[in-house]
Amino acid sequence: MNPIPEEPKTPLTGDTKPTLDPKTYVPEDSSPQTDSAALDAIGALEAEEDTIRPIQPTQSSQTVTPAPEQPVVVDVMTPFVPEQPTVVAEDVVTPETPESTTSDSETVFPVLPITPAGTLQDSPTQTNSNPFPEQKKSTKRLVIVLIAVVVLIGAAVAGYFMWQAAQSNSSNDGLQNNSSQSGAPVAPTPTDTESNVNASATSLEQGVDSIDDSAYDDSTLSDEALYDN
Amino acid sequence: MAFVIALLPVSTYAQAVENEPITNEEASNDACNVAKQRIATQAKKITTLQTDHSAKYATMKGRIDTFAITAATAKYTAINELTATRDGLTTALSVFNSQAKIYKTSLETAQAATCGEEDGQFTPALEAARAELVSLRSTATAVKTSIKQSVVPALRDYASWLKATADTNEEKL
Repeated sequence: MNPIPEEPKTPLTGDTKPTLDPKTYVPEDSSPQTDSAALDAIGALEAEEDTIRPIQPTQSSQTVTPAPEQPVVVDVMTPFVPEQPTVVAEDVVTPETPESTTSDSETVFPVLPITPAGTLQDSPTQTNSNPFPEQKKSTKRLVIVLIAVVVLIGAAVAGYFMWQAAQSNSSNDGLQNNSSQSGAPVAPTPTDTESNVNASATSLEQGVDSIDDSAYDDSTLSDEALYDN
Repeated sequence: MAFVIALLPVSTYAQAVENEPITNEEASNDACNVAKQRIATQAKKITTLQTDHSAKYATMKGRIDTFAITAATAKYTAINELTATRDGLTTALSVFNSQAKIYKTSLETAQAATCGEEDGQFTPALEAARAELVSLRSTATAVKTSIKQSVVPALRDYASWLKATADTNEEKL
């Protein structure tokens, strides 16, 4: 009779099931008594499994019961990423929700794992929330870049005009200093010639002669001018 | 006939009023008022003429300034003479403009003076205006003299120098 090797004892949790390990179970002999004893043990184990099986859907039902909250999250995200939330919601609802509504044994297995539903509830929020701020960030970056480009172009144009004004002012400084006393507009010719200078001199003489100084004559305030009829 | 006889006293009174002798003071006041009106007209005329003459002289001076600049650029040898005549014209124009304002002010003073033989202010004001007119005429003459006897000859000299310089350059080529 071969001894049965001892299995490492692990704490019994809710997700572990009593199962027969065909690799480790080795009967001592093939006598009818021992076979019957083994069959009894198997039968007992199957009986335990039968009691557990009908309740298994309730495990998922508890996990899915918060599913009505999911559409709220999904509806918010749909304008930006309409496909991803719907896919996730279908994965959650289709296998389990029909039976969960009919189950009435919520208090029977309160310890059953809810990790699948938890991951399903968390995953939509994570998958849906990521693209939305990324799009916002991208649009913000785009707007900032456009504003920066416009500001740079405006600064360049303004600088160009300011530079032009500074150049024109500096080029006219010499002429303005020479003609500041008269205030007359200065339009110097690039090069003077004998003919245009002589023409200007003649024009000046004629202009002076054309000025009538008769208004400055003494006769304007004489007795004859003031008192005679 | 009766109508003519009735009007005789009226016509006689009218003739008597017309033949009444006018006193010297009244005649003087009337002449003074007429003279003040003519002085006001003269003041307006002087203001218009002075503005017009100043503009013409400023234009001439601008042309001379231009020649002075280009002559300096061309390294005119007698640039100092040219700029000296320009500066003389500038001074003459400044004196002329100032004297024109003084004369106009004296005319306004005479226009506002009271008439009267003994304590009247019109006659002294008129004499002062006449003195300012003499000064104004001399300043106007000075401007013309500066242009005709200083600036124009300086420009002629500049033209001669330009011609000589051009001839020299042609000979070199």
